[in-house]
Amino acid sequence: MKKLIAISTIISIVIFTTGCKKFEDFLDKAPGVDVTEDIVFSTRQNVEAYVSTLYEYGMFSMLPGRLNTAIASNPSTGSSVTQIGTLAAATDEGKNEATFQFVNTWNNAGILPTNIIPSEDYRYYARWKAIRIANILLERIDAVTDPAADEAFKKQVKAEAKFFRALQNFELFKRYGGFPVVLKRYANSADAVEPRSTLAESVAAILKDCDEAIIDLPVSYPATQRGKATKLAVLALKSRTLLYAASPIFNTGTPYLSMADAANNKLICYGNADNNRWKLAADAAKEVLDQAALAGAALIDVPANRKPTLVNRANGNYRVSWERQDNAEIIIADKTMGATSRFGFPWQHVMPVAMGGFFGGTSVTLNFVKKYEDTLGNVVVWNDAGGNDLSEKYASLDPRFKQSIGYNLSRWDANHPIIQTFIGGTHAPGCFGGAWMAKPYAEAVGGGNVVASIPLYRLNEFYLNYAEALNEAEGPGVASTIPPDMPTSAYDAVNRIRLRSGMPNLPLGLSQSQFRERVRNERALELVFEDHRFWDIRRWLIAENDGVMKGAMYGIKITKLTATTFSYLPYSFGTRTFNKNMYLHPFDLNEVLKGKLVQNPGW
Amino acid sequence: MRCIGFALFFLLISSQVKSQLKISGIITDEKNQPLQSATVNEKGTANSTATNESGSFHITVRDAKALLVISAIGHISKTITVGQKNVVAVSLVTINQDMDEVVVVGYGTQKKISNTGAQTSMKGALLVQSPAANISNSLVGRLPGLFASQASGEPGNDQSTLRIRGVGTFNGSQEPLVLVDGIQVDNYNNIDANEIENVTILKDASSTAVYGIRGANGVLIITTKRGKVGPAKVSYTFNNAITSFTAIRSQMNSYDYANSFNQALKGDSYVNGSVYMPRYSQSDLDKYKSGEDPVFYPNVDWYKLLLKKSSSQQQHNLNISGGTDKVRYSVSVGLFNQEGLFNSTNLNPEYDAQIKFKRYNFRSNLNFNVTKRFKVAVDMSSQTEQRSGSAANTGGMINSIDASNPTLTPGVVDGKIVVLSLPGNNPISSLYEPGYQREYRNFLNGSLRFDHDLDFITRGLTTHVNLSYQNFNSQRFINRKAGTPTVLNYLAVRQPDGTIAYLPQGTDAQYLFSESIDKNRRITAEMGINYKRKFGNHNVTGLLLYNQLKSIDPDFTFLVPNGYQSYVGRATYDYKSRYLAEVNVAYNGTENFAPGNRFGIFPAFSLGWVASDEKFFPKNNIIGFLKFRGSYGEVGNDQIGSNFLSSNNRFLYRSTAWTFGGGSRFGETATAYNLLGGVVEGRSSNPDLTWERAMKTNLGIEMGFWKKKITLAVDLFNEKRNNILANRQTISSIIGVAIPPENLGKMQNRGYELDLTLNDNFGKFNYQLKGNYSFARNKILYQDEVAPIYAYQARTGQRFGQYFGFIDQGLYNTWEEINDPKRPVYALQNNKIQPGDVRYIDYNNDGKIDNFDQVAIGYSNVPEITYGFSMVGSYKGFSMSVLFQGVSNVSLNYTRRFTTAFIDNPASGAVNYLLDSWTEEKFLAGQVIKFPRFSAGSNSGITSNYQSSTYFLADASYLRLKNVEVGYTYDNPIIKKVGLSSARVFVNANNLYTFSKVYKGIDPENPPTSGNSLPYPLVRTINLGLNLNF
Repeated sequence: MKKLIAISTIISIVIFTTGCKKFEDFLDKAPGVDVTEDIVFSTRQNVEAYVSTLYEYGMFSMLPGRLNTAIASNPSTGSSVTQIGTLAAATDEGKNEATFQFVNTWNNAGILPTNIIPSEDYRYYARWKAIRIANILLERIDAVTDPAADEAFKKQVKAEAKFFRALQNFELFKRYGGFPVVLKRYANSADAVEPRSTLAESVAAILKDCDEAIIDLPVSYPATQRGKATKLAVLALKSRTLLYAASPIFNTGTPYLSMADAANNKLICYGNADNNRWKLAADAAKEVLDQAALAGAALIDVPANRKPTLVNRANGNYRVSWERQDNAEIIIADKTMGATSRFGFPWQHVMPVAMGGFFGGTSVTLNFVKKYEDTLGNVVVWNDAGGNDLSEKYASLDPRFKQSIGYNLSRWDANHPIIQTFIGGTHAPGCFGGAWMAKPYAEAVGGGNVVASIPLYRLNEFYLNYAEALNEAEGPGVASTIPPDMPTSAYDAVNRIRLRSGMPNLPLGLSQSQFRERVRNERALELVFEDHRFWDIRRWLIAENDGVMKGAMYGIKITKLTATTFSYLPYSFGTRTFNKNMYLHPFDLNEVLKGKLVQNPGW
Repeated sequence: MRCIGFALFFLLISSQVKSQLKISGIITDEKNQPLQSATVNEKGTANSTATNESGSFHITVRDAKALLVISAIGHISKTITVGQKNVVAVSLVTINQDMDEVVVVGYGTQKKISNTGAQTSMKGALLVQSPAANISNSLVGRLPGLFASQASGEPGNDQSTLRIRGVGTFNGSQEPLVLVDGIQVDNYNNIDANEIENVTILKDASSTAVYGIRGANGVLIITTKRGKVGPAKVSYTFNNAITSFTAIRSQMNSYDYANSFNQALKGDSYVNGSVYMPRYSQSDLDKYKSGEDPVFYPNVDWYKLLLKKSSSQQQHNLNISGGTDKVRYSVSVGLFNQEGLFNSTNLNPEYDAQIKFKRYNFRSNLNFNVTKRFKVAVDMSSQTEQRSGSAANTGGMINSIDASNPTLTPGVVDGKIVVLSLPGNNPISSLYEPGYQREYRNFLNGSLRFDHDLDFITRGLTTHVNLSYQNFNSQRFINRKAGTPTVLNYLAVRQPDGTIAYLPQGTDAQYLFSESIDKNRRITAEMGINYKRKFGNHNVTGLLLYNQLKSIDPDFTFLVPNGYQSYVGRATYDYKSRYLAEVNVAYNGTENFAPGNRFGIFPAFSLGWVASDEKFFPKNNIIGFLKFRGSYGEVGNDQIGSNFLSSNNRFLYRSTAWTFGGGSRFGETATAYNLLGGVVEGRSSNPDLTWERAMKTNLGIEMGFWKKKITLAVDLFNEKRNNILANRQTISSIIGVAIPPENLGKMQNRGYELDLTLNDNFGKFNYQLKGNYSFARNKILYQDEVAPIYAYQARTGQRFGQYFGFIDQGLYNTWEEINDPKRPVYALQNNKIQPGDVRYIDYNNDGKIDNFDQVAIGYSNVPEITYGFSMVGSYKGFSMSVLFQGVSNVSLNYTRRFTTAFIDNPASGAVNYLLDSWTEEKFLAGQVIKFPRFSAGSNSGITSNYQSSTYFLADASYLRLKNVEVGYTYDNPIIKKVGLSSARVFVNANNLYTFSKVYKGIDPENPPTSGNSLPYPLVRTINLGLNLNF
């Protein structure tokens, strides 16, 4: 008995410790759950998935989805960026009602190298990810052996990768000037070292990618693939790049502020002023207009809908051009997020608290409303002492006003059919300006889940790019009585945009500088709330002008007189500060301290 | 697993015995008192019995040559020859307790006298003194070296965070390893305190080395009660308690609120350069003050409306234990019932929004002596929990109460939730909006242990096999109405005739139902050989052990089970229990690293010397006992971050793992709009990864004074951790991919512990005074930090979690101070500083107040000093105990709700104490000013006053009267007549009073740490209990 027990015990110990599975196997991970890079680059299907990820990371809109993991976290600290307002509130376009929104940081010159990423450039890290994806695609695509991945497919993938790389680089360029040009994937972290390129080299890198991408991208796609990069989208990117490059901030021998070491000034400007850059910009804009028809893109212009009333505003040409998804005017849009309700993002970035928002709406300043002419093209006088004719004034304004701004007695959506911004009105709390920014909140959002289709490029912009660049290169040119779809002068280009919204032609005989003011005003109105104004006033170096990003900002106090008559009284809701160093972003302090980035001037 | 079962088959063998001669007898102790439950065993057989209450026994033995072994707990065993006597009388001598006292160590027990590691323990009886639901909350203040902090008082969710000897790593998991009866568990909080015999923490390398790769953060071992030989003992305990919040804030009333808000706007208008426009007109203020219009000018105290003053808690426990020489049993069943402290929870007749928590505990520990050599233990336990109530997250709820202002809505009018046409979220809706939830959770644990003597091979050799299975299931149901709140809101509208109409907002809808399920299981297997033998004055013990563990949980990353394997060895030697030596080694592996880097050896060595045992040690009455011990060893930590198995930190060594997911959408939205799934590159790999290494040194002295009336233990420790898994911070973001962690971090943690006990009596008044004090300070030695411009801003070289911020010098009080040309320029707020703003020090003297003036301030949020002090006294049937507990060297950084009013949009509420904010009138009148001027601004990046600074960094030290108990025990004959052996009534209380410097309404133990979630406050419990023994 004893022996039996002893033997069995010893046997069991031996079995237990050695006879079971091989030692290491017990700890090993089960096979078949790893996806490796080689697997991704083994089939066309997987490469398409990776290209889809390129869009997810590389595409963006002015109204980011808050929980989009692609943008939300800082890889080194893991902290997420959550309080993102629309940049309209950093300019004379508007004022955000929520004090916690980082966008307010611009208004009191609180921008610092330590807070620039949450304040404005929350995509900083995602951008480098998108560039890496593009670089990996370029590096690996040729070696895919799947027969389904034919040469045409590979060419197209490379072109898409280059488009997105150029797109990310453009976003760096417009914020920082010259940037580190990253054209390869870093094999290990020690290699990830790249100084800033000069501004000229940086722009050249963007243009090179654009030129190569144009060749292999299709002109258009079937409806099921709408949203993918087309030739026209690249041309649009190229036009915007050349327009920015030709602008006063970069196209100069002396930058707005000198770098700490003047030898570095070429990182933020060309180092000389060259009018030919405007010519290149005009040509690039013209190229977009010329190629648009081929790609099926056109201005939304139904003559009967140029001046919609409040009742049929949904059909207004201008409203359709920004509200209706996949309309003909859109060249490419960000619609990566899927449908969301008004309580989700991105709509929460637009909805005022009074309408159920949590992140604050943006009210429109009087400074900006003053830019709208009346329907006859006359300047509208807003009396400093106020007046009792607010409703009449609103009625007289440029039809685009009604189609983009939620003013007193107009409509928000079915849940808020009458906007009340008068003192004591439901939607007055937080409405500093007197009216709410309504664009790009689509009426349909009030009724259910809607896909946010925020355009990255819309065709109307390129008429204005053309007009601005051509005016700078050659002057306003000659105006046709009825501006043609294919403008050949700066006058015609602006007038074509005004025509589709029922506005008369610009007066004849404007000088180059008079025309410059008109085209800038036109751009402000036509592209309002679409993430243009902030960048335009910086590249024109006018942000420091009183009432733009600096000085007293005005709104109106509205008092109800009768059911339909209201008085207005202008008042200043605040004074903003702008320092010259704010013409370009500071690089994040932490990134600078890592040792390779030269900081922009004044930071 | 199959091979284990095969092995057990061989071990399941028993034997049979027969008998002939009848013997009876009586067993007494030295004082001639009868000994109950003494064991009488016929030597060499399994034949045995136990004495009854009068100390007598009957046994039938084989023949007159039989030997009887008589043993009783706490007494020296005796062997007698039966001879021709039919009746025997035996007296047993009490053994010297000190020599025989055992302590729990890793994988076993040891004599306390010869233990050389640093460990501390407490008896389960002390846990029962605290009327807390959760045993982790009853450990506070009891054990030197243990820091426990409770983050929430929510019923069923109120466990404490435990740290042993502070924090030793800045990136790895800081959680100690927890074992219940030798089995690693994830959840121990819900064990009924009545089931627990002993709680031990292992602190130094010598005691934790056997846990190798997981021993670096210390080990907590819980031992449950087992049956003892003797007649069945039945014990029933009933507790009925009242709970209330330890600390709760109060809000400003409507008038104060509106008035202060206007002042805030006035101050802010200077900053914004705008014209001051009061939010509330004088007529508004008057109406708030008079309360004439309670619907449209309400004054709601949200705390009163939503939080109750007190709630109730009950606990029943029934314990039956006993045994014979063959079988011993201990069975315990418990019911715990606790209600939350929400108020206004019955607005919807269909459900009760109150949080209710019920827990059913069951444990059965059985021991079988199958043969003389073969013993089996079968342990089963389960904890079944039910939670019900509002599905709202309590952290969000409390935040919502704090965030709502008194003017927002009239709250509840005639049983209706009434709102005004003002934007804002009212918290009473948030209590009902998420619906009603019921959650069931069940933990089921079973373990089987076989012990076999191998003394036929060599004396002192034993072996054991231990198998355990743990199973967890949970199910959560939520009933919620679609699209509308579960309770409708009514909008108050003033009719033209002056009456008020309440219009329902929205229409009622159907309930929707959702269910979520969670489950996991774990299998542990262990096999060991023990050796213990005495050769003259030489005592030798040895242990060889194999242990493996597999956890299966669908939440684990990659859905792959998690495994550990270890080999453990231990050898101890002592000479006359005077010179002690011990070696512990673990060889273990974790799946988290590449083959080749998986397994490591973790050795520890320790020595001890009982100096008082030496001949040359002067015999004196003062120092009767003196022992020195020291240890050095290495342990590991393989976990990066907490809950790493469900995170991206699993399988860190694997080459860049890609995952399918995400992607973009294409197509025209009206017709064909679809997601095209993406694939994402993972973190790049680092195949060289290995575990964190902790090198720990410990020196200890144990002393006994005046015949051990006073005992003192002092431990000094020094720990250095290398190879802390951390991400390089100096890599440029242009790499565009998450970089893998490397074994680069270095950290140091050192400190000391004191444990002092005094036991004495004045006649029949027995008392014990006990105090413990622990200090642990850590320092980050290396972490690849980006070098800051000013060296004083480096985090390296500081303690983990060190706060940084501005140093304040009070407030600016006058414009003269503001306009002083020597005042530094504030980069914050565009230098728009005014009287009532915080005055910061220009630390780097560059004339500017900016981020570079932020320096290390205060401490971290983990206390460096923890201490406890208890007094226990008894006189005849009366007993009483008091426990004080405290922490020090700890800071609290107030979150925005406690420093700032009117934040958020719509404006949040304001805490009442903010009425002590700066105003010019207050300053001129010389009144108390505790806060800067009111401000409605909270742009976190730039608002000057609410920057991280010493102004809002509190000393979070506290001293708390943690626990008090008074009881009386009856064991007189009257009680015995009704079948009871004793009865005890007692009153005890937890969290009675706290001395602290933090703002009123904040419990320094569970301060809020995040801006949008506030903890459900801790509760004070006052309990009346009854204990009956049969």
